Amino acid sequence: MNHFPEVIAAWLFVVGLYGIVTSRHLVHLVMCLGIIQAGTYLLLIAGGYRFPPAAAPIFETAEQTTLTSVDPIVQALTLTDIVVGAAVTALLLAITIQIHKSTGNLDPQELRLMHRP
Amino acid sequence: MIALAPLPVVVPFLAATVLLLVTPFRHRGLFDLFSVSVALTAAGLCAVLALQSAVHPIVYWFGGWRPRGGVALGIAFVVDPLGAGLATFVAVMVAATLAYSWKYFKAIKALYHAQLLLFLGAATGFCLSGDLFNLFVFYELMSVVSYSLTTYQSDQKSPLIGGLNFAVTHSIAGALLVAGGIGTLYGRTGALNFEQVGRALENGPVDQVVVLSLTLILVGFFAKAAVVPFHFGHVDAHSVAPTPACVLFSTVVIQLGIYGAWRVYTTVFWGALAAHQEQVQAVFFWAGALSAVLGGVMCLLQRHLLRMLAFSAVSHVGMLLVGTAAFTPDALAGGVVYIVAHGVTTGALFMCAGLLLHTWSSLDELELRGRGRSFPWSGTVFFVAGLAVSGLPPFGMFLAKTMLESAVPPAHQTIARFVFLLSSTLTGAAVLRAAGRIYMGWGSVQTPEAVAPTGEEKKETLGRTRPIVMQLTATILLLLGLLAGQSSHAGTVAKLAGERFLDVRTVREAVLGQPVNWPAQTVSPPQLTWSAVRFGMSTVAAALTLAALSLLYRRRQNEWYRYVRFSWRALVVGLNALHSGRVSDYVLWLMAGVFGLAVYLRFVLM
Repeated sequence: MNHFPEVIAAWLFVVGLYGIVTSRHLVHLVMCLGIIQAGTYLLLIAGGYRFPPAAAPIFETAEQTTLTSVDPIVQALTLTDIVVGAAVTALLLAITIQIHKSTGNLDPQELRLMHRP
Repeated sequence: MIALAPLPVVVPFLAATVLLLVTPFRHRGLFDLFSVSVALTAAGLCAVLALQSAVHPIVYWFGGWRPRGGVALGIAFVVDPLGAGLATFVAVMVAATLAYSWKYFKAIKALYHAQLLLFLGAATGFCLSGDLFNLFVFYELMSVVSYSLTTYQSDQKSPLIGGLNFAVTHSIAGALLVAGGIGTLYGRTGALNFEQVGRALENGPVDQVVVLSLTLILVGFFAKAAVVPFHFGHVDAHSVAPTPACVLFSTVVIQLGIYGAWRVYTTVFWGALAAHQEQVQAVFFWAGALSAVLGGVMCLLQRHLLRMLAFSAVSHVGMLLVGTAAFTPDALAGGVVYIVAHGVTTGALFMCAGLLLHTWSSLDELELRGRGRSFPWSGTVFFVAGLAVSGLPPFGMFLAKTMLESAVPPAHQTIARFVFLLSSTLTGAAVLRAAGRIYMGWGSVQTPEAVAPTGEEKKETLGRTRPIVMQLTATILLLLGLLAGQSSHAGTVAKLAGERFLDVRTVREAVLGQPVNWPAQTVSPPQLTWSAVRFGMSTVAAALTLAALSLLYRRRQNEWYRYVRFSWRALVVGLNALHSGRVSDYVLWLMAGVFGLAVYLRFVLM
């Protein structure tokens, strides 16, 4: 069993998290969240991969359905996950624009939520 | 009648779409009426489902894709009384919120109503979902609506930053942790249906894959349920969001996170970890104890009303976890009563706070001192709800706490009792102190809480009116809290629901095999003994005493007082500094949680 895709997914998680923790710009932070999400897509896709390398699940005749193919369910899941990720990213970017409008600052380390007396 | 199952999701989604189509029309009252009636319809549908599922588990396969030979490729809704009951509760809360919003917002468009209905559809879908991936998608949908609701007043600074913190931490919990856990489980079992995954795990060894997926899913749902130390993003959002949205966050969003953890643990991991249940349940217990205590202390240290109520919700979620950690039918029954009773009571508190914001443009306890004198009605509701939160019989929270407490295994009784006492007292005292200060004008402004963070609300006078509908919804919710405390009805129904929820074998047969009825079962109503009533009364007394003490606090030049003041102040400053408001810190806490839990589970399970 080859764990290469899982290793890459873990790497994307680590890179994305490092980016979020050290981020000094909100757009950068949102992109890092996107990298984490990309890691999830890879993890899902990897779960459906077959060894030895199998074909995509596109069948034209009834006989072909007996051939080995990769798992189509995880691909559907990944698509759904991409939609969820796109919604979150769009919303976060909209929030970022609004924050820039109202504070003129996009450094997450300097944004303060509440006023401390 | 099985075809009824998808309707509680479909109806709100369709209604939301219709609302978006008619946005150009400007008949505000019509939108309010329409959306409230849709939410009530959904509540009715869920209630019918709950009643039907009391006879047999309802399994609905979308598109008729039934499992063949025990392999489920289709997507199912699996309805049991507990899930459908929770969905009913959510629908009622959304209806109350919509009714409350009618006068709360001066100018809103149909977009707001559509969002709340979308939230409702996602939440009911989450409660009824029968497979892992739909559970995840419905929760994410609910979360995305929550982020958008938090930032609804997008011209102000605080809601935007709060919404950002909430969205980033929540998305990491969802996209990385829960989705990663589900992906890992799928890679191992090739299934997404709860029952099928559970069966596959049962037949396999407990190895790294199981440990990893359990860690990811547990931390993911705990982070969504505002369990300490993952509560930061929640508290930030709850304290800056529009009050109607806060009602839903503190009473629905975080409780459904706990429900998600229950559902996945009992269906997917239950059989596989049968030999290690105690070690896993210890995670629930101690995470709950930490949340209950820290949430309670933080609650008492706040001066911002919504932030205080948010910490109260954190503390109560902790109690819920402690009480249900044993995963017996009685414990889960207590948990359901707790979710419902806490929801309606805390909802009433939030609504009273929102009324103050509506009138005075402030949520600061010290700034509002004495300004609530002209609010006798909502002041009474606030005070009584405060007593109910601290566990006054015969309110629902008292019944729920009694049920939870008696369900804790004897070995943990002492700790659980201590945690319950501490948490009820601290949260109750915070609410009662605020009630005394705001509605009666008692206490000094120079108190240790003065150094706690506070909000800058939009200085816009919304008028000195006190809309009846806002006070009425708060009162109705409080009365529902009283209704939930009727032990013979609420308790018995909940106990039956708890039995069904944990009847894994029947559910599995109904999902993967043939339709079956629940085995015949009779449950006795929960026993309310005198000692329970005494315990309830003593927490109320303790809360009242603590509230009185902090209201009587005066600056005095006395050696002993100086020590108290110094340590109290240090606690306020230190704990509030921990809640830095920086999203990077929150993400580090999340990672620390994953790492810690993974190491713990690795050693106890393998």
